[in-house]
Amino acid sequence: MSISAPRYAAGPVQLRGRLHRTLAILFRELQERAGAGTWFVMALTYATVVLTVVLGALFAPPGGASLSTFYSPFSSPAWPFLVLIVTTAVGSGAIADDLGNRSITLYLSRPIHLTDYLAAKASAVGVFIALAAIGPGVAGIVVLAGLGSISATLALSAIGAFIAVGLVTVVFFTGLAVALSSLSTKPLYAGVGIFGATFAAEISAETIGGVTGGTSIRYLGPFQDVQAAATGAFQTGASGTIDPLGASFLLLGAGILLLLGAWIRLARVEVVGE
Amino acid sequence: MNSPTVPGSPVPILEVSGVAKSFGAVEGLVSIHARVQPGTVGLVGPNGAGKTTLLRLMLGLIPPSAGSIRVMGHSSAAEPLAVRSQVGYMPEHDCLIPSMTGIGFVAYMGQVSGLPKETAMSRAHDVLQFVGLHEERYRRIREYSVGMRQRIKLAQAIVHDPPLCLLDEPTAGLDPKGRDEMLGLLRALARLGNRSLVLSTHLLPDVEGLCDQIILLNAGHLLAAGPLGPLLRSQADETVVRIRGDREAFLQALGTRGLSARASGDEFRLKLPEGGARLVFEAASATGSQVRFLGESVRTVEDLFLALVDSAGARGVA
Repeated sequence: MSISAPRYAAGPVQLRGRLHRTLAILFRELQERAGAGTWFVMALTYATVVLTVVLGALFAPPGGASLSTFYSPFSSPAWPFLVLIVTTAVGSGAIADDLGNRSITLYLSRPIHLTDYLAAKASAVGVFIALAAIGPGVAGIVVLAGLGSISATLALSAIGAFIAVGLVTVVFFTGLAVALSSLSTKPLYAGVGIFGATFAAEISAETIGGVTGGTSIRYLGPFQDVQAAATGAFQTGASGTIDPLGASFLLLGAGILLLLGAWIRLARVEVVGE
Repeated sequence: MNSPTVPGSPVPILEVSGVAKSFGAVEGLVSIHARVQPGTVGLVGPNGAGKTTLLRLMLGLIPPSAGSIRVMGHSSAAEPLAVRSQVGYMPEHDCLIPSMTGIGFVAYMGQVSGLPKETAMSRAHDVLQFVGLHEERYRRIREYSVGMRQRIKLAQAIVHDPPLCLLDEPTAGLDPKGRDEMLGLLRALARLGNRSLVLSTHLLPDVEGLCDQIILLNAGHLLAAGPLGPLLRSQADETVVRIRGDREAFLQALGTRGLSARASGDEFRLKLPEGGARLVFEAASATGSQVRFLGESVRTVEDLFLALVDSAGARGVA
């Protein structure tokens, strides 16, 4: 061990601002979550959705593909399930890891606000969920447009619809993952919570809605909300029991509230403890 | 310390004015006043004294219930980011990211402090060399020993070259050799120009060997704050007597000769008047005791702390 002063290669440096610090956390989190498991599920999601979109358009009924043709991924249980797996894989440890190893102390004793930390973590989780929720649909449309199977106008409309539905999905599932991750010091518990909360809400909505015939209870199911938002965005004309606009706002509102809940929870964490 | 700022004098690293912090019914800190000049400062007190609360207040992580606190000239409550950009904090507890390499972790923490990426990496190499982890810098932190973990915690605290380092129990969990090495590192750090250290600890010998100023806390109350030397000297005009024999009888015999002594561990402490040594020997002779030692007391921080706690207890302060 050398007992000598650090001889910095560079002289005094002006420390950069909050954006730089926040981006440092964001990029590190992206690196941390980009594991083999995440990419495997991501690849499965792309394969499933791209195939569904492309085959659905190629084998469209006479009259050719229309915007509603591309609703097909949302009618299958595969897409929401895969999005949920990606959410769990990237989101469960986002904050739980830092609480578990207590590195959150080092973040929050540095010149950043809690909001910066949370924004960086949520953005990283959101990027991965967006890759799974928006990317495959858009990729499928690009493939079809590249093959010349659909017109540019239809391609742009479909891409817009995928982005719109994807964004509300991203906001909700990012909020869910970050909130549950902030409640535990163990990613496993957070992951179980993400799955459990989603399926509990979904099954409750389905079961109670089926038994009572009530429609408002169906808003409780996140996948049903996503499906409803998709029926609106892709103009399927299906007379669903859930209002697409209401479902979209519900997902957005719930996602934002969950992020707020995570902020409140983290504000109560004793960063410098005995 | 505790003197008005003279124009042109260095900015105090810490100015605490009437700071109180309560957690519900529990008072964490009670009306603390202190002004600490740049240097090496020991923040000392038993568990529950309020050291951690003061550190949290200094970092701007919690607001004071009353009063104001300024660190490096910035208000901790109003400008927490300005404070934290000038502070390097080494926590007591484990706080490392086990999956990262040592060099990656320290560079990352530099970036989170605001260093550009290349500079952060360059400085990470420098500080890891300084703390003696240069050879192990590419190993995962999960493979580090307790001593190595303490050193890398110090490295992340100084990577952005802060003028003030807050070190929370830096020698905790270290064996004697590791403790000596860590104290050596801290001495080297303290020698660097324009860098102040605040060492929060309950290990009083660490403070004696390292600090030139001290803040003594007990049960949320400030017992003393100031340069260490004068504080020790102010309490050092006592004589220590060690005897072999009946301690109770000896104490009574001293009393009958007009000497007021107090028992402190296995010895007695008293203020001797001119020629008072003769009275001590008379008391020993009268009780059949042997005087094994008689001399001026050498104060340690521990003596100072115990005396101040006793004094505060007598006044009903803490």
